[in-house]
Amino acid sequence: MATTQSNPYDSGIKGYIAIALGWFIPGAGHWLLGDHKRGILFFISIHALFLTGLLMGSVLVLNRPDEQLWNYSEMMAGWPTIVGDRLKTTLYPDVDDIDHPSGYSPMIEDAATAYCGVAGMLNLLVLIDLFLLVSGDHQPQSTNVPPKLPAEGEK
Amino acid sequence: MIPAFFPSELLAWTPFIDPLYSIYPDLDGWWLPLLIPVAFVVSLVFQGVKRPTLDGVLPATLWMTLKILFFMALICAGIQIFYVLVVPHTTTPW
Repeated sequence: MATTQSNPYDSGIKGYIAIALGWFIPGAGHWLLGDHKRGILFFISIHALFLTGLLMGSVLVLNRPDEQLWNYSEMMAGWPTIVGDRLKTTLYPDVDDIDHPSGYSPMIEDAATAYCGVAGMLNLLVLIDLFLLVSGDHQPQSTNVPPKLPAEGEK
Repeated sequence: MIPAFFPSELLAWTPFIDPLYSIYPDLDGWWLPLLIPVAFVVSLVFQGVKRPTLDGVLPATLWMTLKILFFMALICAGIQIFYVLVVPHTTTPW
């Protein structure tokens, strides 16, 4: 009889809470499921990329009316996008009327937008990995034990 | 003494609220080096997802970063060659 291999990440509803939490706080999903090192790695790298983008271009790079595709990917980064967008709508309520400062650098603004957008896409990659772990379709190789073959004559 | 790269405008600069180019004007020439951190973080997260354990993730990340940058440069060179050698022979004057 083939042994059923238990998925260490299959923790029922907790797994799906981890996915939602992983969207809101990048890396928190892996942390919640006990993969602390990976959670810290994703937390630091995705936040660092997103915040570097915000540092270069400020909250003005979020939810740009002429960059819809980047806006969608930024939404995947979770709380930094939500807080940043809230700040932007509070501080710059009428975006179209913003006068750019004298040293306006459009390529830096685009690069900052790309930083935030890529951070969101990377969090999407992390969420897909998390979903595959929780659903049992994919497991790290270290926990991949091949199932026992049925013994001779055993059904 | 305040160093030259620390302009007095920095005192009035609010991180995340004011863009960096409001105190360091004309930063457009710096867009190319900004590709390196993106390539590094993409490699880091990709290796973090791909590898069963995080042992040796840093060398693999650095190697993948170099590969990304190399192939980006290769694609740029290819496009430049195409633009210089092929495009002038295909376009008709207006």
